[in-house]
Amino acid sequence: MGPLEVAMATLGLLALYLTLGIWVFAAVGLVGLTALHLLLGFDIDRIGAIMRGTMWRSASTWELSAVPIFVMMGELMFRSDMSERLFRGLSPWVARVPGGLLHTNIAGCTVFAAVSGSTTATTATVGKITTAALAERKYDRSLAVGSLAGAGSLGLMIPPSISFIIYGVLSETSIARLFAAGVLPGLLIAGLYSGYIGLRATMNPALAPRGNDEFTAIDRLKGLLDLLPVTVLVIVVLGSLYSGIATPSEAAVVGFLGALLMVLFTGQLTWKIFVDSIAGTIRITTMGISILVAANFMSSAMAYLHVPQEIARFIVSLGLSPYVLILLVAAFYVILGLFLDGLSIMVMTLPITLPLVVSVGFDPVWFGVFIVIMIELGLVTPPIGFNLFVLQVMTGHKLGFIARAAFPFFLLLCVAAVIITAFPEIALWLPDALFNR
Amino acid sequence: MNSSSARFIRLFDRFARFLSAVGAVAAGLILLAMSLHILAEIVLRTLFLRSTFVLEEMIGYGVAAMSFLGLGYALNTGALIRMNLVLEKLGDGLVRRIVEVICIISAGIFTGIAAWYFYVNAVRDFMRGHVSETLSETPLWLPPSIMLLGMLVFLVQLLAYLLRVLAGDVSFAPSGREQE
Repeated sequence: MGPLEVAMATLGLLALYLTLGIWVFAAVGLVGLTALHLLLGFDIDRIGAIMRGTMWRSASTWELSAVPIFVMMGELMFRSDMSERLFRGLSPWVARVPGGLLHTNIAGCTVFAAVSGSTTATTATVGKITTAALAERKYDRSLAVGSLAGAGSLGLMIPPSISFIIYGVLSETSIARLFAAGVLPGLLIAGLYSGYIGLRATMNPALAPRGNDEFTAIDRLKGLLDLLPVTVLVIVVLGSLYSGIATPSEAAVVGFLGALLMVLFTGQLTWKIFVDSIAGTIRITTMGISILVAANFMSSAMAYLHVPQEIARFIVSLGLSPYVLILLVAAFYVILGLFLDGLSIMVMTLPITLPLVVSVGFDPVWFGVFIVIMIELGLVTPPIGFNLFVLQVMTGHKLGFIARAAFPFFLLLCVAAVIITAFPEIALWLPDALFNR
Repeated sequence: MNSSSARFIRLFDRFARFLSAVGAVAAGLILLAMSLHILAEIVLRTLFLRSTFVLEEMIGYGVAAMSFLGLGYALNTGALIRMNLVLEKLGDGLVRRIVEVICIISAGIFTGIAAWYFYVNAVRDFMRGHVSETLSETPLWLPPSIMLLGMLVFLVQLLAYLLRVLAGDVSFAPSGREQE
């Protein structure tokens, strides 16, 4: 078998195992196992030694501790009155803007994303209040659901973000730099969303009816008071990271402690909330890290088979320009995003795509931002789009309706990807300014 | 299916779920211990200019242990992601049961082989009395063995599920839809 056939056979195996419905972490690990055994004829003891080595090394990576701790912080706040506070605090500020309270979806997700690492927590926390509140005020259902699906995915882009931690560990890029790189692209995406809502509402005011909500300057000040706790948390977490005094794991612990104190002092801390938050954290962390660990074994198997090198050599031989290459990579991710969750996509493809993209001159930190946009695209596309599932459970709408509602926001994300490719400084300026290379 | 084997399957399933729950509680305690250790390190460093010197090592052990001790529980609660486009099309019929059996056995093979080599390694490290080259001098066999324990719980949980599928019940195979 030629090297390229080996690469295709490996990918074929992966597709087969995944389609059968084998749990992703086991499917990924099995690919490594079968590829080494069938294609290279390694005996099982040798494969076992490779497995034990790679799995233990990647599982015991201490930087990964930021994942469960940030998740725990988000889980805790999801179960607190944070969603009411966000809605109360933001409403007086956005009520007069064209699109009105629809902007609470965007602004709420943007703010909450800055204290939470995951999209599920972000979408669910903000949607807990806004889905009912917007429906009650007769806002356009499609725009309400679609904007939430789109904005919820900001949880991945705006730091702290689990995706950036995993990307940082996999690509050996500084997590703090990635956390800085996500800020402006996150705000850009939020801006595009809000602009689109404003435009639609200006063209057709019936989409966002002016209700009886009248807000005074006093209400706005009260709103700020409601937003105070979350603002303090954002400053503590991101401030300690950006000033360089804390590692991501330390910032996560400080943030978690802050969230815990906030929940405690507002009298919401119960044993049930505490235990539920930890249980939710264990579920998400176990799912994520087991995939990461198995993927690490698979990628070392791929390295034995020279798969990344062969694919890279093949693509380089095509003589594509960097922009055509990145377009191809994007198309590849959008297709994968239809069927797989973002984390699996990232850990499985990165060994191949990262060297390729870096070799034609893209910055690894920039590619981290780019790949997160690609994952965000996958979150709002059926049949497998996790934000769609979250909203399906929350609103009771049909998956097809939610997917159609989210489609304009999918296109806006594509626009954001184009803008960031044309102007990489949007991602790279802040990390350079903060950590001056 | 006679009633005594049905009863055995039910009992075994309950046992597996109990083990998985114990694993999850252990994972939760490890998570809290890790958070406390990191917090202690911050306090020591900023107030007393000191360190525990073993933070990165211990936290690394913690991450490995907690993420594998929770595997059985994650499987139980449907949090472990799988692609279910095909599975859903199959309904509850015989084909579905066959595919489920293939999935369970495949997951069992991967986890089983990994567990075996974790065990082989642990025995060797134990016999030779290797310790880590750090201040803590942790016996090398110990931390990976906690990860191994998590894999064993997962295998028991898989076996319980296999028995249930063979008895015709595929109800507890929800996919990890709410997660990410």
